Amino acid sequence: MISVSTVIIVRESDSGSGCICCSGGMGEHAKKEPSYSGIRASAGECGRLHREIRDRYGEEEVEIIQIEPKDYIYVVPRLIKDLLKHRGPFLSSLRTLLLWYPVPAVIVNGKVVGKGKVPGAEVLYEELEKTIRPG
Amino acid sequence: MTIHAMPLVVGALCVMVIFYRYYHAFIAAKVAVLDDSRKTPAYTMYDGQNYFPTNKWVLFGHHFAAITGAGPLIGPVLAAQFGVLPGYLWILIGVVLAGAVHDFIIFFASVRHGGKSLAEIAKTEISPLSGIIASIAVLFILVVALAGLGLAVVNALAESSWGVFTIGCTVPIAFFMGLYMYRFRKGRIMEATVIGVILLLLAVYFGKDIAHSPLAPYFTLPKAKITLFILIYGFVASILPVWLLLCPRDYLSSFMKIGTIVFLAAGIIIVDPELKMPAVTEFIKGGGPIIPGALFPFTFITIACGAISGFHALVASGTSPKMVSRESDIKTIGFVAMLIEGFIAILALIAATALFPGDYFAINVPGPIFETLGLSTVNLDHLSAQVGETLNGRTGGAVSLAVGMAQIFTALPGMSHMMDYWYHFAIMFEALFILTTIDTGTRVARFMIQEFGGRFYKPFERVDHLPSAVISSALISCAWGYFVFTGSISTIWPMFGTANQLLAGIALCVGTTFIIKLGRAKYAWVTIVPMAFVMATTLTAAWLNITNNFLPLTRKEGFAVQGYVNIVFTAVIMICAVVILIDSIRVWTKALPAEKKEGPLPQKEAAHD
Repeated sequence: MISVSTVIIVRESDSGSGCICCSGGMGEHAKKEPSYSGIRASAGECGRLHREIRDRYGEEEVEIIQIEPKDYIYVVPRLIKDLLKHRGPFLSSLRTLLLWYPVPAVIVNGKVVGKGKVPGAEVLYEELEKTIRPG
Repeated sequence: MTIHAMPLVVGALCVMVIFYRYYHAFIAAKVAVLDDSRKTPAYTMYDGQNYFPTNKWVLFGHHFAAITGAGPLIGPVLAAQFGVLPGYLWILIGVVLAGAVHDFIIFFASVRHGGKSLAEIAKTEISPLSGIIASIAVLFILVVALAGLGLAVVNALAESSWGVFTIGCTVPIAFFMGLYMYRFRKGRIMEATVIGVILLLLAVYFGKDIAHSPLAPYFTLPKAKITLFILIYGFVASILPVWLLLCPRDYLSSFMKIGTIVFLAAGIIIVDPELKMPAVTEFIKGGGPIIPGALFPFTFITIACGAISGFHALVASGTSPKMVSRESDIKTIGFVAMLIEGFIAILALIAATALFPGDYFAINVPGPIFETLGLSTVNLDHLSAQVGETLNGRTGGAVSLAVGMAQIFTALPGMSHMMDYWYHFAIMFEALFILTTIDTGTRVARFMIQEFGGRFYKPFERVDHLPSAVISSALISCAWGYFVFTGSISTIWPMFGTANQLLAGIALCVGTTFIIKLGRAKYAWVTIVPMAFVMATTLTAAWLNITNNFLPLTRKEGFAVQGYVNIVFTAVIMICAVVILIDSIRVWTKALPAEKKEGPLPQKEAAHD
């Protein structure tokens, strides 16, 4: 399945921090940790956005990738592909590639549409429509 | 005959590829019968926050990052006392036949159970008793794991002003990063991480000046003081808000991990070091100075994480199964991530065995014992001069690994004069991981204690209840701190290996029960064989540990309490594993006739939907 558009949501995880021996994070135990509340709220907002995009578009139209900043490196190949496909200004592309933005960050087809806070779904729809239904 | 690293590296890669292509494909197709038409929990329980479908390669990266830690680096270094071959063969055979199968089957079982954890699957598949015992086992295993890894750091930092300064700097650096990305410039994680990495490298660089300055005595600490500091660190870190220390430290170690492992792999391929350690040493029959016991069964518990690790079951039944979008993706993620971890363990073994045997043993064995071995050092004085520290008697594995890694890095073009920096970088890299483990592990164990205590006194289970948090954290920190204070690597590491492997045995029990209940009992050997091997070797090793090492300790003046505590801990973990094994066999014997009569159990199949 090749989707027309990509939405990459970069947000922190409320369970993946730290490691135990050779396994990462606190897992389900993290739910008990009160100091994760800020991160958890932000993750909840990202979840809301994820659901809204998914409700509106099918998987064949939009691929949504939600990832933690520490695993960002694994999404770089995909990002490079997007940046090359939807060519934008060099400096802005470079900043996107290096994730030189505050998280949570939302990247649509290589273009950052939300930084430091989760944007409303309308902002994304506008950007997505350009590639899904051009003209 | 000289052995070079390259044939071992290439051979390992070939074996892994062949097993993945045929054996693992067989398990995926015939045993699990992965079915892409089935909806995974990412769809059936979709919420966009914890459960959401994720691209295979992105999830692979996430899963691999989650299962890779300090464990696979230290074990192979200690097992090098038996020579190159035992460790190499166990990692290779263990990872393809046991470790990768273990990770895959638990991952698969969790997906079919809606992303549930190992303890919950044990409760559903075997019995509520097994679920409770699995939780108790995890708590004990955590304490021993924290002690094992903590000791490695303590021994690496003892009497090392450079090391203590560098590692000490990671704490204020993490605080600074935490405040930077959560208070001053909210969300600027990459910025904070880049600053953190630069500060960390500067700490390594300026550590040398500190070591040669009047400040050096303040950072030159004996083992007891370092143990106390690490104990206090674990206690405080597990109570502090996660954003202040744990999260920033995690970003630092995550990026350091990827960079260092890739660099080590490239270094070994380019340098192709000659392995000075013989294929097998005289210690295969026992009497080894690092791990007290013979090759069988002690190799199999000394190298845990690189061959098979029970801790992986926690990740494989944690976040990853909630995010997998198709069942066929489990094959790549479950098997390959573990195979790469095995490959990293082989790199660590190569780094350690590139040292001359005399040098290796002189580092890993206390001075008086080394003198009885009849070995002489070859390069050690030169190495000590190069790294700027005395390397003799620096037990625990971390130092010899750091020396081995530094040797490989300095053999690269243009690096020859940087041995001291690379050595301290490697120490910092290992300690960074281990301190994150101490923070997370103490915190998780605290939650478990609080949950348990809450059954007797309700407010105790509230994690925001400060007195409860302080008491439970102190309890856990003192528990693992006790082992570090009183033990040596010869007593703690085998206990840690035993604990980790028994957790893997428990997970394989759960996996076998799952396969049988799926109606595929004829293929249950794929998990029964590794389970039987892991259980047999580990229970034997645990028993030998008790009878040959801990019981004699109880008769030694001043060591009686330590001996008894070690016996109790080992025995509890053994009992947990045996109870789950017996409970599983009871379930298997009930399920097998039912399957013969009626074919695959329809009601269970439905439960797995």
